[in-house]
Amino acid sequence: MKPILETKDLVKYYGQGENVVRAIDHTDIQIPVGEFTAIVGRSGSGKSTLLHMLGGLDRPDSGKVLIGGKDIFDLKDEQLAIFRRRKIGFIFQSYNLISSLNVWENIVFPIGLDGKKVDHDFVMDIIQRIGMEDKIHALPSTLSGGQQQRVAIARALAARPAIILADEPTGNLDSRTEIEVISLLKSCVGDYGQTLVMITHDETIAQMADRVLVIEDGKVVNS
Amino acid sequence: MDRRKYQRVALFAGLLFLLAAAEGLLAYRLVQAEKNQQQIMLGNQVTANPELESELVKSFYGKDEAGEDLTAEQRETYGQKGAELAGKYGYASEKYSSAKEYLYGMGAVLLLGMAGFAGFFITERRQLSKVQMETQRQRQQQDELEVRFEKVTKKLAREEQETKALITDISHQLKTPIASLKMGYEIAQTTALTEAEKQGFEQKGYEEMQRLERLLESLLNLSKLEAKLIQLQPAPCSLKEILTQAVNSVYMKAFDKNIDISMEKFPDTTLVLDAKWTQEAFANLLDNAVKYSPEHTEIQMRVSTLTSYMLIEVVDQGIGIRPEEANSVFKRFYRGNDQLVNGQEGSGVGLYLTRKIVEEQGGTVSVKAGYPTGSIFRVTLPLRNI
Repeated sequence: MKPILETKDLVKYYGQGENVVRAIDHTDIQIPVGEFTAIVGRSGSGKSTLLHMLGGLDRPDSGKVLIGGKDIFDLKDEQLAIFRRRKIGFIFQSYNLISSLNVWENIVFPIGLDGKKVDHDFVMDIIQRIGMEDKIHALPSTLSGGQQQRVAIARALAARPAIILADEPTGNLDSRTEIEVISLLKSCVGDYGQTLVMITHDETIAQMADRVLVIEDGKVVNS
Repeated sequence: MDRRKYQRVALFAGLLFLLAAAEGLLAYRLVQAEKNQQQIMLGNQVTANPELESELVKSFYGKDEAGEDLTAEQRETYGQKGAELAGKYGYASEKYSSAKEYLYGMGAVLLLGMAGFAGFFITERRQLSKVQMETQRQRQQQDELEVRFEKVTKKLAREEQETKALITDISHQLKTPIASLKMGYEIAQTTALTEAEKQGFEQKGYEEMQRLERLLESLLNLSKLEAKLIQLQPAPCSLKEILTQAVNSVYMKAFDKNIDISMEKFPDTTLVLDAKWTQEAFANLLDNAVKYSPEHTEIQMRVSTLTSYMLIEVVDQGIGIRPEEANSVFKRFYRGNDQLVNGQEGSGVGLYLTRKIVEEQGGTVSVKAGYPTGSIFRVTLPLRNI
């Protein structure tokens, strides 16, 4: 079984001398294709840094991140941005919706960036799944946190990326909304054949994952 | 694809030919007009001066009096003279009217041709990017299919492995009670027992049998589901009905321990589920709750409607689950190391089965610590089942 996402001897330190923070310390991980992997760790354990590396948002000090066997840091910044847009969908704790665009526009925005045509039926299917079909003209500011995160999920799914990276996606949500959002995310990536990597400090979420990686001080301690 | 390419090449060549032909025709007409103009002038001159006829003809065709071609010097001198004369009579700014229209015509055709080509190239580019986009889309779909295929392959491999593990696990699970039964009978046969001892052994043996029976039943359920002998058959059904049936199945056990099971009122919903198996999933949760709760406690069922899911919570006041074990309790044959757990009858199948049933139907199950004690099992089931 070849992994879709892989790190090889990945290193990222912050600071210098005695104050050095080993955010990622010679880490090797493998994410199998089509699985839901939860990366669990305390705050400050380096899990967010790891996710940023996996998504090519930040360059490591050394080591490799391979997506489909290809080292993404071999790419120039501009190529990397295009690669990221096509291959990876991001979901953040703070939703990151564009406040001047309505729900529909927010969801199809990344597709437009890529100059691709919007697959209307597919996007509508996602919107129905997230239960936002009567809110497609609403602006993000009029939505609740759970609704905004559902829109962010739809945005990540709409471009049909192979990988979805989620950074504490339910950190700002109440426990019921959280469980719903995770259920939704899990069933969507399952149906659309995508690979989900989620960072969380929440054990409940980790229970729903196919695999759990525990990160401590920049190292994978348990998988 | 190829035919379309040929068509486009042919269109391009045709357009080029048409343009060249139009330009050629206009150039020919221009020369004709020029010639005509010259002849008119010659005729005009000769009519006015018939005595100069031969000289005029020669001069019009660029020859000197002797009939020789004009030299370059002569051409220049005569040209200057002509220009001076035109200036003297105020014709300097006059242009050849005969050629003008054809020149304009040629210019217009050229412009038109260029516009045509520009249009051609723009559509060509569009066509190309459309093709590229289509290719990209197809590649993406192919990638998705590959992922799905790989998932299925992986699933098959895993299932095979799991079946092997299942057989090992089952035989292991069955060995223990059978060994204990066997030992009981052996002791009874080889040792002289008092009547009371005999009765005790018989009682123990009977209990052991019952345990075995229940174990077998759950193992059978599990293996049927694992081996895909049973396919879940989703059909519209009432959630309230399913939950009520699940409560009924553990009601006697709860009654024996004086445990009160209450269900909060909720508006009933129709979900697309396999009623029988979903009921089994909830019965397992409730059975655990009863098993691991002390007497005179309460088990609460709470149902709430979320946007895309129904959330069903089973809240007990039992012994609870350590956070580090929360991940493992859904694993097949996992049982806690706690004395309190091992003191209870069980095979470590129930929660695993629950998870399998729920997830197979697009839902999730998880557990968190209750307050102040106990556990909260939370099940989501999709409202819209596709």
